[in-house]
Amino acid sequence: MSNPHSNSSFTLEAQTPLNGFNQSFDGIQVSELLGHSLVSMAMPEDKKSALAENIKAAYKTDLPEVGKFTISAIDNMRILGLQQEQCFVLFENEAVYKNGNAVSHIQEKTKDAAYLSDQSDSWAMLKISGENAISALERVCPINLQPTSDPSSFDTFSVTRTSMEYLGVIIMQLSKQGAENEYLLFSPRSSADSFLHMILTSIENVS
Amino acid sequence: MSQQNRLNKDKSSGFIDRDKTIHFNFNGEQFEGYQGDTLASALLANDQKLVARSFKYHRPRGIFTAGSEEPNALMHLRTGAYQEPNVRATVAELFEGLEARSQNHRGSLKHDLMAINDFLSPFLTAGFYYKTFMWPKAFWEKLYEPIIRQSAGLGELSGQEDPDKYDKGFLHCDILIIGAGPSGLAAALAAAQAGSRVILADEDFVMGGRLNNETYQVNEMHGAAWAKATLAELASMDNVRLMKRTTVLGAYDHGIYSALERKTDHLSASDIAYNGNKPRQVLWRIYSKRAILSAGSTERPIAFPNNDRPGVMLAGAVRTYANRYDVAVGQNVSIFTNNDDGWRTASDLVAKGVTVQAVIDSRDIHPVAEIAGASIEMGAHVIDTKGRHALQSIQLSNGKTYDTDCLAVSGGWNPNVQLSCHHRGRPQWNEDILSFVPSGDGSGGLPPEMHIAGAANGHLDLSSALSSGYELAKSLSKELGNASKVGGCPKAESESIANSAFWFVKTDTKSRSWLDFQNDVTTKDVRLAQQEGFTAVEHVKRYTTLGMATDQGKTSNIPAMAVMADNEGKTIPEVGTTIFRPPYTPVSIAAYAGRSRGKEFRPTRLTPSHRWAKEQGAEFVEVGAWMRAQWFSKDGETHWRESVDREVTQTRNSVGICDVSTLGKIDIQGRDAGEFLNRVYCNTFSTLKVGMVRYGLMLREDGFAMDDGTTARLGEHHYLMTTTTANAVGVSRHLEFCRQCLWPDLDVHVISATEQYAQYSVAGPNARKLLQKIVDPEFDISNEAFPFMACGDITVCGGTAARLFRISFSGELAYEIAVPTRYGYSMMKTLMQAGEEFDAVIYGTEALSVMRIEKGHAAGNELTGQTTAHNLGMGRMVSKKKDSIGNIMSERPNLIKEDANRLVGFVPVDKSEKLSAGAHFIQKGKSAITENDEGWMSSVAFSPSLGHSIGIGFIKSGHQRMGEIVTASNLLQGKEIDVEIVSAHFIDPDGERLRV
Repeated sequence: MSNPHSNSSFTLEAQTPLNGFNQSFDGIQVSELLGHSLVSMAMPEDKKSALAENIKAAYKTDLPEVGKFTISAIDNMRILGLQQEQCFVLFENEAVYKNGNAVSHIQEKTKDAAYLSDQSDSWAMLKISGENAISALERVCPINLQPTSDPSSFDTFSVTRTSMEYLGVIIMQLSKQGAENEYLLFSPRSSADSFLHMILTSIENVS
Repeated sequence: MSQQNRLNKDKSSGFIDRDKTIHFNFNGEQFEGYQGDTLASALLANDQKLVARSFKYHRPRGIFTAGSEEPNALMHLRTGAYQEPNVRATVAELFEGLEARSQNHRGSLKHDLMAINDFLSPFLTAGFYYKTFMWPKAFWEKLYEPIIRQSAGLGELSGQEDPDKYDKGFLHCDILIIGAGPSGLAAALAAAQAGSRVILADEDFVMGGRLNNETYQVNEMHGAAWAKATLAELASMDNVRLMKRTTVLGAYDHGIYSALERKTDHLSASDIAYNGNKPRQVLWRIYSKRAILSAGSTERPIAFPNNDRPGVMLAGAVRTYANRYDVAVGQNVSIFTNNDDGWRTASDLVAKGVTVQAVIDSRDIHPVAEIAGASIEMGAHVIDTKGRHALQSIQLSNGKTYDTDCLAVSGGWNPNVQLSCHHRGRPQWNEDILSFVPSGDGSGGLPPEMHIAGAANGHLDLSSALSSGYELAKSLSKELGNASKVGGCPKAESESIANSAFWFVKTDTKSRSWLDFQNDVTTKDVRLAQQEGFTAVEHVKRYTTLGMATDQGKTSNIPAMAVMADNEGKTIPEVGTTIFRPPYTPVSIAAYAGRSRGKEFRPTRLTPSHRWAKEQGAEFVEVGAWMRAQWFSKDGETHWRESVDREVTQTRNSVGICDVSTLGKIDIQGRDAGEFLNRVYCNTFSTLKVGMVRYGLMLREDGFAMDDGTTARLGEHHYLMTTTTANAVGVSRHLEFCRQCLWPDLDVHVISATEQYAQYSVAGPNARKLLQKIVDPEFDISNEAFPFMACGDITVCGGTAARLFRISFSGELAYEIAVPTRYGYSMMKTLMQAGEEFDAVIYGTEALSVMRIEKGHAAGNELTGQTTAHNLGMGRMVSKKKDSIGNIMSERPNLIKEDANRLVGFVPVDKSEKLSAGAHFIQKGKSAITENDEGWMSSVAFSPSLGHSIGIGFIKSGHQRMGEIVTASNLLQGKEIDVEIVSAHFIDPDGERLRV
């Protein structure tokens, strides 16, 4: 997974945290999320309204509540409400391996209403889906992923921070309730190998 | 003859599958059983009465129960590394090829050499080990202790690594139902029909509880058939999770329960392999909104002389083996009871065609039933038994003797209250059933949102058990907003549960009546403990070992309390219970560890250049969760020092490269970011110019140094802080606390950027020349344009965004260059490639440490949490023009006194000597005692630049004692070296190299 750049003498090649991992198991598909950028968006208290307006104007969507994410067809963007005053913005970015344009890309939309920090290289991003995905995840994930009628249940458009096997993980529920289970997991890049191993061990233990 | 005790040989009844014969091995002998047997039922079917030896006296012991309360029949199961000790045969499912061995004997089970202990029993009474083995003193270590260690304990571990896999998991439900007996099944059905999400857990491999062991009718069908139908209905519902072979072990806060699911314990090795070597057991954490404890009840014995012989069993177990497993545990059975339930055993056995010799009831009442062919002895009790390896006869208080090979004893039933007490609740005495029941809601003690149903709550008759579970589940579901229509409550007849308070047979002082079979505790032991002053129930437990070990006194506690009460002239509730703690039944340590074993004990963090470093043959060291390259051995180097010396020398002479990505990086933005940093650092940052870096020292509230690092100002409202590797998380958490809790009015936002950048130190006289080869030409990094402590955004290799910081830990001309982590591996290779013409060297953490000691920089060894800015020689950094965390407290007189420890350098007087970290400084001529201690050596290294050992450390008034000779005393190594106090800056004290 590379996109070389060079001056006259040297070339830098990009590598993704999980080397483009993509594999199917018995009722479970696992693949690294590629071609996306992730930007942290901190919201000053006195500029929240302005930010919401700017986001609405640019992406036709709202800022999320904490624990939820909103979506936009533009850039296939998702805004993850992770805590008060801070969201993550996940979006498709073909140029992600060409230059560090993630912050500037978002800043064009938010203008000066948010403090932005590139997180694209901070996380290993893994998509896990399929009918047995919940069985595998319940071996490591303390979040209740079963669909329930409880308003606080973790269903479509839910996102939260949690920990799995001592690793910090952000988990998002991507699919609609009742449809095929599909989750997106983020874990720190430096421990990407342990992260993938943890998920694969869970799959092996249930499939 | 095979399975000679199997009943109904011509037809299949109970829960065994006679079409599936299973072969197993016990103590080297081959036996047969059937699918659906436990090891215990199969052994009894094969007339194996003697299966164990007791713990202390090595008395012959047989199977006593039919459940997890079993005190006697503990076995070694499997062989080799798979061997597991102390498995209760009563809950071990039989499988093809099972190998079991009895334990706790020397020689054969039948001829145990240690049985001599039984003859020595007068000397081995309760607490004997507190009174003996005192003399002669020298015998303790050489004789007594080895013998005791060899004799103590039950089973033996294999001594090999457990090859099985284990896992953990998390489950969620509206209602957790613990126990799938009558009340549990009724509760599960009601809750599930109401719409609640239900988990039903049961330790047995067939759900149904006592319905499978009895001949009760429910809804006008056999109880077991009703259980089967109910389970089928539950299994078809999406909102129900049935978990057989699952023991709920403990009740914790917030409705959380632990449960162990035995996934493959019932499978043969070939079946386990066929199924892909899945985890043997899974330890679940179950989050519940409500819990219903329907764990049933456990029968208790009656204590009478020699009541521990093989063949003496609980009455409920005897009929369980008959009804569920089609096994007659004796050909000539007698029953000794103090209650009506004991008579049910007699009638069930007769119905199965088993001869009942006598029914002995301690109550002087009219016989409860007619038992065909049996003598009825009312108002009598058993006063002795005979039979060496198996029961042969019993003697009664009325002088009669009966030849019998099985005595079924029933002393009444105890609700299984353990889980209800895991929040320190004390159960309450219920005079109707003569036992303890869980404390009610509101009286304190029940785990929040735990509710009790069925026999566990004292509803010992079937009808009450069913209705209590049903009503409770309906009500709790409604509370949770699940009110779909529920079917009717299952109906059953109410059987008689009348009982009496007959706990033990009073005897002369010579007889031994067993209370705790597992620990060989008799009524005499309890009396002795109380005579010796251990009157409290907890003290009696500790002194006698009553109620300890694998069964935790499930059958022994209540009879023992009755003995205590009798001795003290108290009632049983006045004696009280001991504390119940998790786990309910034994759990292997491996199950607690789950998959976190060996390399998987914790996650590993790898640097961006890890793969490259590995390719170069790096030796790695664990730094927290990080794996960092320590040094890089080259061909011909035989000692790590050679590698490190080379790396240092080459860096100081030309240029070296080190991966410093592990340092914490925290992105700080906001209009008040400068003010925020002024408050968290003891020195000032609001005045730092954009494009510059400053060293900062962070103090704790108590004024001691917390962490240090550099912080760069990237923009008017944008800073990037670096922390030490070890404190990265701690500092980040500290900043969040300050931001959110201390100063929420400040406009400042922080986020970790540690993982975002691969960062490399490029140090040495040729550092700039090397970087100029990769930094894009539009960026001027000359000394004039990019001076010491400058920073800025640049691009490298034709447009890749990067950041450059001109900072130095080594004391050389140095930079740290950061690129997005995706380029980390490539950047490492590129730097080395670009550095080839300068003979660039890669260096690891050892060389890094040598160079920082040569430069006198403090690191983790100096920032221990017990040193101050004053100690570190940075007292003047604590700005008095502003307030900051720790500023005031750092001025405490004792912290800034003139003779406080100061960080200085040390060199050995004899340069060939090697310094050692941890040595303490003593004035010359004084002895190395605490009173003369003046400080300690914190870091040492061999300096290839100077050619001898150097160190830095703290010594009283160190800065005023330059040139003084003191003794560095290392008592651990038995070494004393004379050292000279020198400046901590061994290399380039004026910092000229940094600024070229």
